[in-house]
Parts: sequence; structure tokens; C-alpha cells
Amino acid sequence: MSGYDAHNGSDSEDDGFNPAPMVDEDDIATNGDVRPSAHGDDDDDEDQAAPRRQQAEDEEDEDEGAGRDEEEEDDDEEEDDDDDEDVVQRPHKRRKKQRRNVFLDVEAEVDDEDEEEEEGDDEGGIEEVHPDDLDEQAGADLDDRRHRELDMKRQVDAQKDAEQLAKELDEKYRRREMQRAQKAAAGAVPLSLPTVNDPSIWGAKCRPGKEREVIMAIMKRIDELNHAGRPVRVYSAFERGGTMTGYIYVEADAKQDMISLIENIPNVFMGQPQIAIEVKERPDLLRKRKRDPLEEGKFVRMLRPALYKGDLAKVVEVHANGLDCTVQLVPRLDYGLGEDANAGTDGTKRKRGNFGRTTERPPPKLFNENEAKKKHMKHLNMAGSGGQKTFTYKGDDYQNGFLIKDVKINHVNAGNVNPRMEEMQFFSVTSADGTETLDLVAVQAAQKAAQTGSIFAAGDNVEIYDGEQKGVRGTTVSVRGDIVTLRVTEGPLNGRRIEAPVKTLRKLFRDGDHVKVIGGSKYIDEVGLVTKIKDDKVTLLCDSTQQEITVFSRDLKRAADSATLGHDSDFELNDLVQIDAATVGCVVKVDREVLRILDQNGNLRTLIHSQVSTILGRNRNAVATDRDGSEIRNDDLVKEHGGEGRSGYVLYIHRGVLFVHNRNEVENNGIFVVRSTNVTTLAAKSGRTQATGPDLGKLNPAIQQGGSNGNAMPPPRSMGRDRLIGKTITIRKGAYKGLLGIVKDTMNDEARVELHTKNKIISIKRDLCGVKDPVTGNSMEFGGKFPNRARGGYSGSTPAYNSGRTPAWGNPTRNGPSWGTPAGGRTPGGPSWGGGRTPGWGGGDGSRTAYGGDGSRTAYSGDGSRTAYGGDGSRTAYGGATAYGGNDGSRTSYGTGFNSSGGRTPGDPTWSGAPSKSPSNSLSAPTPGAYNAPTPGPYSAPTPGEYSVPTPGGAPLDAPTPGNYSAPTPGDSAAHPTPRGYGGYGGGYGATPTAAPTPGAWAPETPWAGGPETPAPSGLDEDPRYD
Amino acid sequence: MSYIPSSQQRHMRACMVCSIVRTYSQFMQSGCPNCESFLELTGNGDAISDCTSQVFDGLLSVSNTERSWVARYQRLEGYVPGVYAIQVEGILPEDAVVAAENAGIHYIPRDGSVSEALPTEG
Repeated sequence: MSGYDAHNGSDSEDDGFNPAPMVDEDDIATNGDVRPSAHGDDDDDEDQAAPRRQQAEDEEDEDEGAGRDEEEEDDDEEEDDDDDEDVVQRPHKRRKKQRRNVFLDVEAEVDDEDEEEEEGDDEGGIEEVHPDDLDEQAGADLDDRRHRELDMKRQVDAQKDAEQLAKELDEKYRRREMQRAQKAAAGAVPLSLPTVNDPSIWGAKCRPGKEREVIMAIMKRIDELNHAGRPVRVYSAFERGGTMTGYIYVEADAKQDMISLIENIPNVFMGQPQIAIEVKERPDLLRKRKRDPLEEGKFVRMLRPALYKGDLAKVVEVHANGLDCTVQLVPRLDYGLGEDANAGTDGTKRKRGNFGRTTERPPPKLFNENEAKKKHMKHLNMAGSGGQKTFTYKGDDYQNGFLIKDVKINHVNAGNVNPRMEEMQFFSVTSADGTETLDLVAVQAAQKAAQTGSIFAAGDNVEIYDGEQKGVRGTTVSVRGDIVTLRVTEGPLNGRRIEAPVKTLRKLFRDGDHVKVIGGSKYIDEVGLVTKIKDDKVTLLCDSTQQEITVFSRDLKRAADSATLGHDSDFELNDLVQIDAATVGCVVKVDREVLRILDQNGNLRTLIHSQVSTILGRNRNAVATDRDGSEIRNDDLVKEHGGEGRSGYVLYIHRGVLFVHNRNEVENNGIFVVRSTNVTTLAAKSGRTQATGPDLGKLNPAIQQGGSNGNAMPPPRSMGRDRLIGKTITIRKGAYKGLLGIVKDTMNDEARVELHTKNKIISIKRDLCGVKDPVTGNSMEFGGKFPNRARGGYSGSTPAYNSGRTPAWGNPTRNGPSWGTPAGGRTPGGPSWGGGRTPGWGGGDGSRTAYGGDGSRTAYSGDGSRTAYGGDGSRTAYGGATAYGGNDGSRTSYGTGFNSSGGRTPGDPTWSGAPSKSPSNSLSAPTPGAYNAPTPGPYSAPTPGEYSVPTPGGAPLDAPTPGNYSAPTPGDSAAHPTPRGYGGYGGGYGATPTAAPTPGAWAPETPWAGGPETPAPSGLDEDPRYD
Repeated sequence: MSYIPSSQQRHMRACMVCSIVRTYSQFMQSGCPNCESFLELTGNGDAISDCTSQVFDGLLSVSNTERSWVARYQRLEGYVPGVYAIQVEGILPEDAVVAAENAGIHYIPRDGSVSEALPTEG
């Protein structure tokens, strides 16, 4: 051994080895030629291996050209062999070089004279140089020559008949096979079976997976013993890796020898006794397992690159050395999407990857050029053209979307492949007419290994198609593991029971049999009539689809029943499913393997079941808004705005997308996708009210904010039972004008009124209701709602309220009266408000402006008020607030503001009354701005003078106002849900009365404005200011 | 000498002719101790990758190839003691086969593809 190690394969020894050829001519040619020439060349060629290889290839080309020559045919074959086995077989190349020279000379004479001369020049003084070397030096000429050679080769190829080529190849390979067979036969030396005289073998336990290390450790110990000159009494030790994990076997004469050698070797378990292997069992320990031969087109499972472990792959090519193969894989790429931009170099990253995969490996997907271009343009190279585009991406080749990879054969597993349908779909072959078919043969090859007895059931007609009993037919009686017992029904063995392995059996069917597919293909559970049988492929006409399908007979079972396509799909029609993280869809068709899904973008997708991650249930709380701003919930009837104007019931709401179902539509099972902002609600389920316009209050941040500050008046909300219900009212307007009734129910701005006259319930706008005292028949302020208001002693606190407002606003002229009235009759008259007041407002142009001139106006002013706070679209109310207008402190009418609060309050009518300004908005006033507006600034702005002037009754007013105000305010606030703001008022007012006209009084009011500041300004400035 | 530390064990290759197991660099340095005369592996990376295989199964340490039945059964008689593989996958190039035959060695593939490993009658 050491001698060999020392031996370095020197040339001298090689030269000495020049065997006398004893095989056939080929071999003579090969060996006789090769070696000497090789060594002859070695001197000058040694350092130029690479270029020479190139040349060698060129020469081969030429040789092929010459191949037409009969005499050279044999040689040609040899060369081809070399090509197959390894491109870089040196000896042959060298030999060829010689021949090439001959050829070259001829060629040179014919048409290369110029070149030769040039070369000669280039070479300078070198005579008699090997023409090959010439070439190497004359780089420029080399190119030229190559081109010529290529041309020649092409010419020759073209001339050569394809058939002839095939024949040659065939012959060549057959001969090789024969040679091998001969040798094998000749070399079949009967191996000596063990005898009792041979050493014994013991099996010892070791740590599984460490067998090789243990054997190496034993070898080391043997070496040590040898080195020390001590006898080694163990002859050999071996392991069988995968077949017998956890055991090593040691060959020795005596057990003690064996134990003394292996003890203290790490990973050998000495705790358990070693087992002596019986003599006759020993050969089994060394049995070689024939590896499943890999064939092109076969399916295998990957073992090695961890990324593809377990993935299905198709063998494209098996390399000549039998150790490597090229496989076709569905790549798992993330195209750098998951890449950490801050990660170090590739090297470190790869290293990290070795320690357990932290992230999920990307799903298998065909290579996508565009994806790769996004982030990894630099890693991407393109080659080829037309339909066959080849990409090189990060060092791997991709063809037709598949990864083409060279792997070692021990990194793939050809057994137990059992491809699943999802995996197979990638490998389906798209034929010319666009239909996708699977290569059944390949599938069969892949699934063969998986055959078990379970595919046979008692009573199946079977045939043995392989082995000694080939051709025997019978009926299965029982199945045990992989052994099937069958009763022979034909032939000489008729009636006998024999056993046969599953592998050799196939099921027999006859034309016309009614069969069911029980596995193996995508047609599982299909039932049909056998129409054609060829070998073990059976064609049947499906009952359900009336299509002919071809499956393997082993996947069939005779079936009495008719087709029941009971698919066990997890998905049902109209399920909302998650497709990927960002996509959902609605199932519009459920097939056995595929789902048709309408995704949120309105695209129809066909997915297999496993591609759909989860079913998203229906979210009860899902809400969307339609184009009018009304809310949409499930089951609402909506109509597409524009487009086709489709309508239907909302099935699902996903973000802003509605899945709408309309039974009358045919397409997509009646489901279509629209954006919620592109529909109008026709009817809401269960009478949910639909706002007529966008609810600005909800959208307006200022309001929300104001609410939270407590400064602004929150939108009025009715708490609890509507006070109007149960009230006796008269109807003030419309067809029912003047009729008396009782409010039975209210809804937003409508009231259901049971009329006294006829027993009938009608719906009217609630602001058409004038509340009456059921006993006296007098108009009354709404239900004693504001009991405290009257505080000021004015009986009709209400009036005060209203009046206050009006006057304040109103033209001075108006005011006068209004004021007066309020206290008295006016108040009660609901209608009066509406009418009178509004005008007040309107008329109040002056007044308003007064305010308004500035931002203030918006705040208060009718306008502002209008917008202000409506609960609903309608702006209501509180323009009233503007009441301030009253320059005089007294004036401060604004009680109105309160009213605004709700439709409920009498105020409502009032507002509405002010048609000119804010016609529709009685209720909704709520533009926040309104609130804010009343900043002091505004106040100051308005020239007081104006007002003061107009309000003649200033003084008179003074008195009332306070009373009024003080009274109403509290009441209001109480009535309205938003106590705070009002409370503020209340206080303010309260103050006013005492203070009366003085601005100081106002100060407190300011709370309206929302700011304490307000007061201050007001305080500073005098009343006039307000105006 | 024949010992291969576990760190090197992933570079192990087995000679397709005699099945001896060494690392690539060992083959590179000193070739195959049994077959060097005709395989000429020393310093010849191409030949090494052609005539040796990374795919093998079963590791066998032999201290005495004459006396051991296992070695005899594995047709290792006359070879140097060392570590061998029980089964070696791969197809030996034709010229290497020829060379082996010329050297008087019956080349029998060790990949289990030929059943001559079992005694045949006559």
C-alpha cells in the first residue's frame, strides 16, 4: 500500500506498460495508438491541457467528416464512445491528433495553402513543429480554421443519411453491450461461500448513522496495531449503511479478538452482546442491492438539495458514468424577494442556510422571467430563441420554466415516487391542440413501485403478466400483503389456487364492463364503460362526462353502481376563500380537482384545491359604503352604478369589494364583483334605515374632535324612547293638515300618527306635527321637555327660547315683535316658530351678516349653523345659536342653538322654518366649523353698531332674554344628550340674566364657541362687539 | 494511512475496479493502490472522476485480504489492506475496462447490476 502511495504514476512506468492487445481490433486501435502517442506528446503539451482539449474536439469534427471512409469507421466509433463517456479522455484525443495531421495535410493542399504559409511565418524558426502546436500559437488563424471545420462538419452531417446514422449508433452500442456481457460471463467466478473454517462474523450495535465512522475508527486501530508490530486478529469489519443501520459486523477468529478490537471505539455499544452471524446468513450481509436503474423520462423524488427535498422531478438524462443525471424540476424561487438587503455576501448567507431552514421554502412554481428580472436582473442570462428559451439564473439553467439540474444519482430516489396530482400537473405535456395530457407511461413507471395488494379486491379478474406463470388468469380470492391468492379459471391449472405477487398481476376487464376508477389518476371515482383495452391500459367512456379516458387497469374496479361523483371537496359553491395573502375569491364552481374562483379583481381563476388556503367565512360585521355613503351589509340589495347596471344581493363584503349574487345571471354562477363605491343600495336588509345623503357628521373629524373636547355640541341623539311617541299632535301641513292624532312611532324624521278621525295610521314628517295638550287642546311645547326652562318666570320658557332666537337674529324690526311674542302667545305656536322665526333669520341678513361678516358667521350664522350639526344630512339647527346677534347682551338669543339638537326638539320645526337659508337641513347642522367659528374674533368683527341699532327693543329685551335664556338652556341641555356644551350655555345664560345686557353676560356663553377665550374677548370688548 | 478522518469523509470516492475507498486528494496524490498500473489515476483528475465513484454503499475495513472470507467474497484477494466499499455505483469507461482486461483483471462491476456475484453452477 505504502508502495503504491509512493508511486506517482510516472511516465516511465506508463511507458513500460504497453500491453499486447488481445481483444478485438477496436481495442488494438485504441490502446496501441493511444498510450505511446500520449506520452510522445506529453512533453510539449503538458501545460496546455485546456487548449488542447478544444482542439481535440475540433479534430473530432474533422474525423467525423472523414468518417465516411469505410476503413475509418471503426475508429470513428471509438471516438464517439469517448464522447459519450467523457469529453476529456486524454489518450484518445492525443491519438486523434495524429490522425488529424494527416487529414490536415490533405486539406492544406487543397485549399489552405495561404494559411499554411501564414502559419509558417508566424511560427518563425520552429521547424517540424507539431501542427497542433502550430495552431495554438497562431491564434488568429485558429478561428478561421474552426469555422471551416464546422462548415465541413455540417456538410458531412447533411450528407449523411439520418437512417445510416441511427444504424451506426445502434451497432456501436450493441457491440458495447455484447462486450460487456461477454466479460461478465467470463468473469463469473463462483464466489466462495463461507465455510466453518472461515473466520466468524459478529454483529455489534453502534450508534445509528455513525457506522462509517466506526469502520474508519476500526481501520485506524488496525493500522496502529500494525504499526506497533502487534498481531491483528480481526480480519475485517464492515457496515451496510442504509439497510442495516445501527450495526457493524466484525470478522475474526475468536469473539475475544473481536471484542478487544472494537471496545473503546466511540459509538460502538458494547452493552449488548454481539450476535454471531450464522454461516449461511453471511453472504446476505454482503448482498448488493441493485439500484433501480434511472431512465430518461422517469419520475424521481429529490433527496439532496435541501430546497427540493421530496420534490418530484423528471429525469431528463442519465450521464454516461452512471453517477449523475440531469433532472427537470419545478423550481422553488423567491427571486430575491425574501432577501435580506443587509445580509452579507452570498457565502455567508448560504452558510447560514445550512442550519435548519428558518423560513419556509418558496412554493414550487415555474420559472418566471419577469419575476426574475425584477430584482435579480444581474443574475439572469438568456439564451436560445423561439419557443425554447433557456435562462441561466444564479448559476442554474431553466428551460420552459423548469429547472434543469445535474444531480448525483444517490440524491434522487426512484422508488416509491407516488406522484400526486398537484405535482403531476406541472409535468403534463401540452399537445398541439392545447389539451394537456400526462405521459401515462412515465406516470406508470413512477407509480409502479407503489403497487400494493390493496388495489386488488376479492373477486377481481386478474392475469399474471410477468414471471413463470405468465398468462395465467383467475379470480382473486384473498389478498395478504403483496401476495394475492387467486383461483385459476382458465387453462390447465383451472380450479387450482395459486399465489402470485402483486407486482406480476394486472386486472382483467372485458369490453363493456362497467368499471370505476379507484385511484392513480385524476379521473378517480369516474365510472364508465370499457371501450378498449390495450395491454394494461383501459379506455372507458365516462358515464358522467361522456368522454373517453384512458387509465391503467390496476386503477379500475368493476363497479355495479352508477356514477356518483361524490367529491370530498372542502369547498362549497359560493364559499369565500383566501387565495393568497392579498387575494380572496368566491368559489363559483367546484370540480373534482379544481375550483373555479372569481377573485376580488373580478378575474376567474382555476385553482386546484390545495392552492386555496382557507375558507373565509362570512363576516357578519362587514360594512361597506355605497356611492351615496350609505352603509352596505351582507344581503343588501345593491345595484351597480353605471356599467351593466347589474343588481343583486351582497354575498360577501371584503374590504371595498362586494361579491354580489344574482340568481338571474348565468355567468359565474350569478356572482359578480363590484367595488362598493360603485353601487347604490336599493334595499337594505331588515329595514335598516338608509341615509339619504352622506353622513357628513361621521366623516367630519372636526366634529368628532369637538365631541371629545366637550366644547362643541355633539350631534343630537335621541336617547331612549322618542318623546314624541304617544303625544297628541295636530298635523300642520299637507293633506292631513289639521287632523289630530297620536304619534305611535317615530323614525328619524318621520312619525307614524294614528289619526283620531279615522282609524288609520299615517306617516308624516315629524316636523309637521304640532304637539297639543291632549286635554286642553292647546299647543304645547313638546312634552314638557324643558321643564326647567321656564325658570325665568316666563311661562313659556319655550317661547323664550324661540323668541329669543328669532329676535336676536331677526331684523330688528322683527325682533321687536318677536320678542314680545315669545313670552306670550308666540311660543306655543309651533308653526309660528317655523314661520316667524326663520324669517327672523333670514331677514336677519343684516343681523346675520353682522355676525357673519367674519368667520363667526359661519359659526353661528344660519349658514354655519345649518351645516353644523345635523345628525343627518340635514343641517339643522343651530344656526339658531346665532342668537347672539342680539347686540345687547339681552339679545343673546341663541337659545335656538339648543333646539338644533334634534329633530325631536321643537327647535326642529324652527329650523326648518328657516327655509331660505337652510332648507333641507333642519336636523343635521353639524358642521363643526360652526362650533369653532364662534371664536371671539368673529364677534369683535361684527360691528356692533348695526345691531344695536336695529334692535330697538334692546332694553326690553334685556329683561326677557336673560330669563329666557337661562331657562331654556338648561332645559335644552338636559333634553339633549350632550349636556356639556349646553351646560356651558346654561351657565352663560344664567349669568346673563343678571348681568343682563352687559357683555359680561356673554362671556359665559362663549362656551359655545368652544373656548374660554371667547369670553375673554367678549369681555374686553363691549357688547357692541357682538354685533 | 487508510484512515479517513470524518471531516474528510464527504470527499470519499471508491475505485470502480477494486472498490478501495479514499478521498479525492488521496487518489490525486497516490492513485489507486491496486489499480494504478492501468488506471493511472495519480494526478489525473479526469481519470479519477471517471474511474472512481462517490456513490457507494457499505464500508469495509480489511486487515488481511487473504485470510478474510469477506475480502474473498468481495473479490479483494491480493489487494492491499484498507477500506473498501461493498457496492460501488457507476459505469467504468470503456477504455478503463479494456485497460483492466489488458492488465489481466476481470472487471466485474461492483454495482450489483451483474449477478455473477452469486456462484453459478459449472
